[in-house]
Amino acid sequence: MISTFDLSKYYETRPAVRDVDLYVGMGEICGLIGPNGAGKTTLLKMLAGLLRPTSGKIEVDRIEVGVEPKLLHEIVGYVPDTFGLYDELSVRQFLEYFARAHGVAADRVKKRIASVLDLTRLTSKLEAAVGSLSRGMRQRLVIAKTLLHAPKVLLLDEPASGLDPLARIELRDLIRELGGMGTTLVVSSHILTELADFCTSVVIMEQGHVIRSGRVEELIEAMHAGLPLRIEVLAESDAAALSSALTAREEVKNVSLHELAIDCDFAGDRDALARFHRELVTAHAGIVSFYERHLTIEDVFMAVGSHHVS
Amino acid sequence: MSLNLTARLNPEILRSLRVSLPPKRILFITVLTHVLLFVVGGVLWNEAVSNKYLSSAAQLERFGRDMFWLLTVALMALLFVLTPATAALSFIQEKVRGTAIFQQMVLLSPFELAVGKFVGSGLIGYFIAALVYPFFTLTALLGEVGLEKFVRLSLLLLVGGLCCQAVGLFVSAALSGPGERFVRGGLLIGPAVGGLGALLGLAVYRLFDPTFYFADKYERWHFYGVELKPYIVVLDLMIFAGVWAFVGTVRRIKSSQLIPVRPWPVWLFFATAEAVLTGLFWGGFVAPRYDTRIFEFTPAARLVFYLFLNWAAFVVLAGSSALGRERLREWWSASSDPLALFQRREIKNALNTFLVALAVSLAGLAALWASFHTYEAVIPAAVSSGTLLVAMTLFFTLTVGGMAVFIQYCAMQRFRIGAWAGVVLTITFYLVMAVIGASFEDKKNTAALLNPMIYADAVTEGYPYVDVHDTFGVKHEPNPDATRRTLMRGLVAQGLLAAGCFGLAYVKWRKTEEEIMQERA
Repeated sequence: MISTFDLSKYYETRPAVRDVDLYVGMGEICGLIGPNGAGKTTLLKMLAGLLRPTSGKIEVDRIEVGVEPKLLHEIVGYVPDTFGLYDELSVRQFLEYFARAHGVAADRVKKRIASVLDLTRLTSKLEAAVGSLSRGMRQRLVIAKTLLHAPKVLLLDEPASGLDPLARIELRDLIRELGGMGTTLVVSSHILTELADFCTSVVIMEQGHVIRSGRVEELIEAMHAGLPLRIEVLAESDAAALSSALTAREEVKNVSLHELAIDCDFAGDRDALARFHRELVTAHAGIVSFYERHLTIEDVFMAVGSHHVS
Repeated sequence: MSLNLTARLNPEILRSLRVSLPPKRILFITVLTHVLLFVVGGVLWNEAVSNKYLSSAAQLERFGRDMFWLLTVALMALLFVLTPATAALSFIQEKVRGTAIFQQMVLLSPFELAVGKFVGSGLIGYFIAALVYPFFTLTALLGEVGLEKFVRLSLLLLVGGLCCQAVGLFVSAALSGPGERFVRGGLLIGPAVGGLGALLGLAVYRLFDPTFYFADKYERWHFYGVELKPYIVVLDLMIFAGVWAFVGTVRRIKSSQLIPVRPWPVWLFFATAEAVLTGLFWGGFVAPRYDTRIFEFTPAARLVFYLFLNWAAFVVLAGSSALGRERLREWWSASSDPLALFQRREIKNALNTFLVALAVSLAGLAALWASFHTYEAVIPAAVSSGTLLVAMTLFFTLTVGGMAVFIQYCAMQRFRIGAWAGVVLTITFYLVMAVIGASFEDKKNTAALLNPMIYADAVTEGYPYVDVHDTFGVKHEPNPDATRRTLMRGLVAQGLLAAGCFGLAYVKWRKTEEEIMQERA
C-alpha cells in the first residue's frame, strides 16, 4: 500500500530522513516510533504529499507522491500533531465544509457526517461550536474530518499527545476500529505501550534512519535467542552471583542485569526450562520469582536503538 | 442554511459566509450602516439648508453633491482599503490559525480555492458597499453630478476594488507558502496592502473625475499610437494587474499543494506585460520640435522609463527565483554531483524563465526603438540607429545578468531574508552610484554610466529620433565623438561589473561545495 524508495529529506545539510526504504501493507496498522527528531513527522508529511522529498520516491496505492497530489489526497488522510480549527463554526458546519471540499457528493454529505460522528462518538456535539470542544474532542473532530472522504490510508502524527487518559483510551479504540474496517494506518507516537496494543507492524526510526521495521511478532521473535526469562532476586549480591552462574551456562544467552532482576534467553524446550528452574531455585536461595517475559514493542525499541536524539 | 440551497456554492465561499456574515452580524451591519448614513446625511442636509442664499433646489443639489462625494470616499475606503486588506490576510490567517495544512490537502482545485478566498475575503466589503450603493446613486441624481462622472467613478470602484483585492490575495498567497517563516509579522501585510490601495485610489481618482481634472479635455494617452483617455488606460491596466494577480494566486496555491507548476504562464505574463508597456510608450508621434502637447513624454523619457520598469521587474524576478542557501545545501547534500543540480526542474524553470523574460524585454526594446523612427529626422544621426540599439541591448543584458548573479550570490549567504538581501543591496548600489555620478561635473562619468537608464539617456543624447528637445523645450545637440566614447566606456564598465559578479558567485559556489564536502566527511 505504501512504499518508499531511497527516500531522503534534508533540512540544509542535516538529514531529517535518510535513505528510507519502507513497505506498509494494505490494512496494516503501522506504528512509527523513535525519539524526538528521529524524522517521524517529516516522513509522515512526505507520505501525505505535504513535503517534497529531497530525493527518492514514494508510492501510495501505486500513486507516485509529488506527481498527482490531488489523486493522492483522495486516498490519504493526515492528522497533524498540531493544528488549528475554525472555532467560529459549529461541528456540523465544519464537517460540511470539509466534506464538500473533499468532493463528497452533496446528497451524501449528511450521511457521511453522521457516520464519522458516530465513529468518533461526537454525535451529541453536532451543533456545538468547534471552539467549545475539549482537546480530546477536537482531536476526534479532526479525525472525523479526515475520515469524511473515506481515505484508504490514514496517517496520524502523535494523535495521543496532550490527551487525558480517558481520551487516550477512546482514541485507541477508534484506531483499532478503523484498522478493523480495513484502513491502512500509520501512527507515530512516543507512547510505546499504546502502540503495542493495536499495531500490527512497527517502523523504528532514529536520526532519520529506519533502524528496524516489520511485523511486531517477527521483530520480537528475531530479538531473542530462545524463551525470554526474567528472574527476580532478593538482594543485589544474589543478582550478581546468579548473573555469573547464568552466563556460564551454555543454554542461557543474552544475560542482562537490572538491579534486582536478570533478563536472559533460554535455548531449550519447556521441559528443559522446568529442569533449569528447579536447578536454579535449589542452588540460589535468593530467587523470588522466575517467569517467562512477554516482549513488547518497547523491548524491541530499547534493544535496537541507541536512543540518541537529533 | 440548508445544504440543498448551498450545494452548488463554492465551499470556501460558504465557509467565509458563515464566518463573516452570520445572520446577527448581517442585521448589525445593516442597522449600523443605515444609522450612520442617516446621521451623516442629516448633518450635510443641515449644512445645505443653512445657506439662505441658495434656492431649495440648489440646496438639494448641494446636499446631493456633498453626500455623493462623501459616499465616494466611503466606497473607496471599503473597496480599495478594507477588502484588499482582508484579502491580504486570508491565506496568512490560515497559517497563523494552523488550518493551512488542511487547505493544502483539500480536493478543491487551486482555482476554486482562489475564487473562494477572493469572494470570501470581500464579503463584508461587498455587503456594506451593496447597502451604500443605492444611496450613492440617489445622491448622484440629487447632486446632478452627471452620468459620465457617475459611470466613471462606478467603474473605478468596481474595477479598482477588484484589482486591489486580487493583488492583496496574491500577496497573501505569496507570503504564506509552506516554507514561509514570518507568519506573525505577516498580519501587518493586511494594513500595508490596504494602505497601498488607498494610495492608488488617491493617485488615480483625479483621472476619473471629469469636473475635478482640468486636463480631461486635452490629455490623451496612447496605446500603440491610438489615442485614449487616461482613465480608460488606467482601467485596462487595473484589469491587467488584477487578472495576473489572480493567476499568480492560483499558481501559489498549486505550489503550496506541491502540484507541479509549468513555467509558461510566467513567460506569458512577461510577454503580455512587455506588450502593454511597449504599447504605452510606443511611437515617435511627438514631433521633433517642441509643440503644444505638453502632456507627452519625450521618446527619450519613455525609453528610460521603459528600461527602468524592466530593470525593476528583473530585480524582482531575480529575487524571487534565486536558489536560497537552504535549498541549495539541501539539494546538494542529496546529490553527489553539484552539476546534477542543474537537472532539477525548479532550477531549469528558473533559468528558462529568466532567459525568456530577457528575450521578451529586449524584443520590446527593439520594437519600441523601431517605433521611434516613424518620421524622417531633420538632422542626420551621428551614430547609427542599429549601433545604439545593439549597445543598449548589450548593456541591459550585462546589467540584468550581473545583477541576477549578484542576487544569487547573496542568496547563498547567511542572510535572514535570503535573496531579497541581494535585491536590497543591488538597489542600494545603484542609488549610491547615482549619487556618486551626480556629484561629478561631467554627468556622463563612469559611476553614473553603470546605471542602464543613465546609459541609455547618455548615448541617445541629441539623437534626432529620440532626443531633440526635452519636455521643457531645451534643445539637445548631437555630439558623435562624445556619444561613441560614452557608448564604449559604459559597455566596458558594465562588462567588468558583470564579470565581477560572476566571479563572486563562482567563488561562493566553490566554497559551498567545499563546506558540504567537509560536512559529509
